[in-house]
Amino acid sequence: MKKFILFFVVILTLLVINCQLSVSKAFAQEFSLSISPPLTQILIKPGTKVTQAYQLVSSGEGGLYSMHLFPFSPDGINGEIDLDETSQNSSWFSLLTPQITFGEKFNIPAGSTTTVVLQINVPAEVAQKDYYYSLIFQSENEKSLGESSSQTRGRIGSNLLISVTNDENPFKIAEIQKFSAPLIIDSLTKINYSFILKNVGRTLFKPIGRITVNNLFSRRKTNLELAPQNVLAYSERKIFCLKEESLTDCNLDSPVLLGLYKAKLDFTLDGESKIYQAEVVTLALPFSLIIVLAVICIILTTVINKIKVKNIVADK
Amino acid sequence: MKETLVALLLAQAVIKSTNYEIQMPNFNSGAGIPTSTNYKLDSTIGQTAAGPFSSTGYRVLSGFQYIHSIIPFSFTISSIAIPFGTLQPDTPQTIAQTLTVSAGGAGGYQVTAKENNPLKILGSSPTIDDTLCNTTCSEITAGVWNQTNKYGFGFNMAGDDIPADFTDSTYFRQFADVSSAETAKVVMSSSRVYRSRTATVTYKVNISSLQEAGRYQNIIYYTAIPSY
Repeated sequence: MKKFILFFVVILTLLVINCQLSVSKAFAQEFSLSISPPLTQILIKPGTKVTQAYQLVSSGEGGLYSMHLFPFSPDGINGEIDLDETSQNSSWFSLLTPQITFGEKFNIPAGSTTTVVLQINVPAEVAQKDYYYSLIFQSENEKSLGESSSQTRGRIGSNLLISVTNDENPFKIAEIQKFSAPLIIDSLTKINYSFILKNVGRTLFKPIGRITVNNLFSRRKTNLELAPQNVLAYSERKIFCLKEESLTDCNLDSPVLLGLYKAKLDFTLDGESKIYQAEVVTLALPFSLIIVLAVICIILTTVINKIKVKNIVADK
Repeated sequence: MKETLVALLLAQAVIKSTNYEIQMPNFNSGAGIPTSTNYKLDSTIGQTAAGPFSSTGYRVLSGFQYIHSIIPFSFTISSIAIPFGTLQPDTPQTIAQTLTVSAGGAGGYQVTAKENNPLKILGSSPTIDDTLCNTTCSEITAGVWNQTNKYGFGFNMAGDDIPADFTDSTYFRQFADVSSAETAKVVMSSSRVYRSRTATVTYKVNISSLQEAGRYQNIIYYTAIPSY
């Protein structure tokens, strides 16, 4: 009898496991793709050829994919992009591995790592300026359903920033669009520095530098390192600060003490010699402390007055 | 230590041309900032060091100088098919799906969405139009859609880094319709570096009793792109 029960339990368990696997296969067909590198930046002279490798890791279902290359332009101040899917410029680009054309389908097996090699052949007569592209990998898998449905196609991209120039150090020029902080703040709050940088030239750059905050009373100095984020040609970007590997707001984190805070912005473009500078001053006053003290004073005065009135009444 | 680092760097230098060379094509292939008393490499492992190329005098700067982690940019969609079943008049159908982005190796990201056309019967003209919600909504602005006599197809979003107009689960938008010359719209975005961000898309379809019977279909494209 015991053997029969054990046999029954084992069979039941196997059936349940099999059933669960079938369900996940039927309803959980997913798209999952990783790409490396996420960004490639190339300074190249006209008439030159270069190749770049990409690694794709498929963690979801395998299947058919296609590759596309679209130009993009910066959109907004936070590094967003606006893909132009109407004007493919494939004449510069070709695929060495796999040997297919853009838009052609190729197979990526489930759980596999695939290497894609892109060749970039910059024509000799091309204008010397920046060109920005996104290499897009698109799932072409379809699941036929006998009912009304939407099919989803996942697409993942990697950005390609190409500066075409004969000059090793192309001309770069920036404008400090905004460097600001509150004029007066409460002593118990943080000071937030807002920095928007504008590229008014035709070549991208990264700001290399810092915000140095100096308390003019205590002489205490704090450095906030700027994140070396790319500012693309003829665009603006909000520049964050860097703490270890994280992008953070440029805040004076420690509780601000009473006094005058002078923040000096100092940076160069890609470490070149020209230094860009700006300053803002913030006055920290203990408003919240004054309010607390005022409330305490009012309460104390009221209590004392009430006691005095009671004593006068009692004396009478 | 110095010799080991140099050997590691040389081992990665694989891509060349006669006039040009990109060293270490794969970014984020190491972790941490290697240092020794005499040597410090303060750049992403797998990133070509800034500086002139010995062969040409030109430079390649690549990768995110401030990210040293080994986290590739990845995008996951929980299901590639959204079955609505048999649609019943005045009975809204909703189906959820999750989008997950890992942008730890990139300086932020965006996910855009668009549809090839509204839900329609293949090879035929009847369509389920994109929703106008209770009063109005579009591919840019969400609106409340909770009345059963308001028809169409739309989506709601909840979770990380979603547009602010998805106030709660009653707010819906249309998908940007490529067949009407609309361009893809951002549905998730962040300018920060994150390891994993997840949002839930809830699709909703509601038809009237006048809707022609049939199998309505369309394709939704989600594009995840890292920042630059």
